[in-house]
Amino acid sequence: MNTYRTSVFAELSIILLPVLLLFTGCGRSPSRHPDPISDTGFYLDTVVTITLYGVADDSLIQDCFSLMADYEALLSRTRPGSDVWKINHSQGEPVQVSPDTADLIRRSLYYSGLSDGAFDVTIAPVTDLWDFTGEGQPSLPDPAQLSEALAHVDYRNILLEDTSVTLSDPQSAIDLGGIAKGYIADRLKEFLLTNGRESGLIGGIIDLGGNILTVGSKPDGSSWRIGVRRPFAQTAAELAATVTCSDLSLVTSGTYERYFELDGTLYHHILDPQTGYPADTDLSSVSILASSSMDCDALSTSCFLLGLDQGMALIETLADTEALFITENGELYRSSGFPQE
Amino acid sequence: MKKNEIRIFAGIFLFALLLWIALTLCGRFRTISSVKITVGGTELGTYSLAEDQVISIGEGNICEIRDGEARMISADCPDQLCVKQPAVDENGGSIVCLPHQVVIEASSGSSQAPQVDAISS
Repeated sequence: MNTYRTSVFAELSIILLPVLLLFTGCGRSPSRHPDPISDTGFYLDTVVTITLYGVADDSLIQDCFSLMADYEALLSRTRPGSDVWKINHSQGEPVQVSPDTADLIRRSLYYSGLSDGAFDVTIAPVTDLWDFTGEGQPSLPDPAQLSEALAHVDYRNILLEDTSVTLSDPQSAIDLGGIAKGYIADRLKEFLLTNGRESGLIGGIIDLGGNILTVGSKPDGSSWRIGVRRPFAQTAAELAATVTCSDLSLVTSGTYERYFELDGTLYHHILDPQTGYPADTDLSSVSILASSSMDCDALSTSCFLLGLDQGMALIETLADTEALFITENGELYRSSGFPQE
Repeated sequence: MKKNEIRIFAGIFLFALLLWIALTLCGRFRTISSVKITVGGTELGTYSLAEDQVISIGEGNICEIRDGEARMISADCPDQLCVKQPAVDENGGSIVCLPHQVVIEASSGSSQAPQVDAISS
């Protein structure tokens, strides 16, 4: 009798043990790696989300956010006293700027040359005439004002000597919005790689308003999977393509985020420095894949403005730089080295 | 002998039953998707996508959850970008209102969802 009882008990234990084990693991990720730490902040008129694996707390992320605040103080167009504000209010006098601002302007001028003027940070006076905010009745800028503003758009009006910036046309103005996010993402990544190791950082993702820059790899050593938003999708997770990569940036310029419709025409925010109007290129978005997020940022705008044929030709001349063009019809065009799913 | 066999079969049956119950419960916990709403980085709350509801966010934004999708249905700021942004569902994604610093972030509960680490837009 006694032996019988013991065996029933043993049997029950054998049955119940795996079940109990199952319950303890319930709802958790099967991975033995801890969950990532993620935080979101708002800087330079964009939302910044940083996700890090391997760290115990969000102190590294907070350090990144304070770096963002520093860059915002330098590069904001609207904040009095910022480097960009000083340049735009210099009345043609030379302005001393920080090495970061000078570096950023130098790179901007490089991309202006590379894209034959398609990329131009002096587009600011034209941008100011357009209202994509959707407040009230959408309207087009006054054509006379637009052509007056257009007369001051020329990247060759920027004279850069070390950290001294002069606008040869005092009515020119710069807006580094088309390249600053990429530049800052690269600086944040540098900061994380330099300072993250002692905190146990394995890898992470810097998301600057949809500009994605990956750092390191996932805890299990696998690559990151980054999606490209399908233009005008009904839900946010509808993707046109996915890219598996490590230590690369993916940046998309698209018409679908800031636009208005008037008399059946869609007016989007990517303005052509030649015409002052939204670039008419039959494209909905251009995504660039490269190691530097700044390159991606400047090239996505450049290629959008150049259009599919010229943009693709430019990409094919650049090493380790790939592009995905999506047309208004939803057709996908990949450069020769852009990963096929 | 016969009694033993019955006990073994009953044991196997019981084991299978318990396993099935455990797995079902786990599955249910996993597939509940929700959205987390934050204002200026502070969490306002987490709301189930399974439940149709309208959520007032601060004074300016209204989020609606219907048929498993969350969208911003109104915002009082001049910048109406968040209202134009696509809805988020169990497959993830986020909606951002910059002027009010509101983020609606979907967290995917289902393990079958096509997982990506980030979305470029």
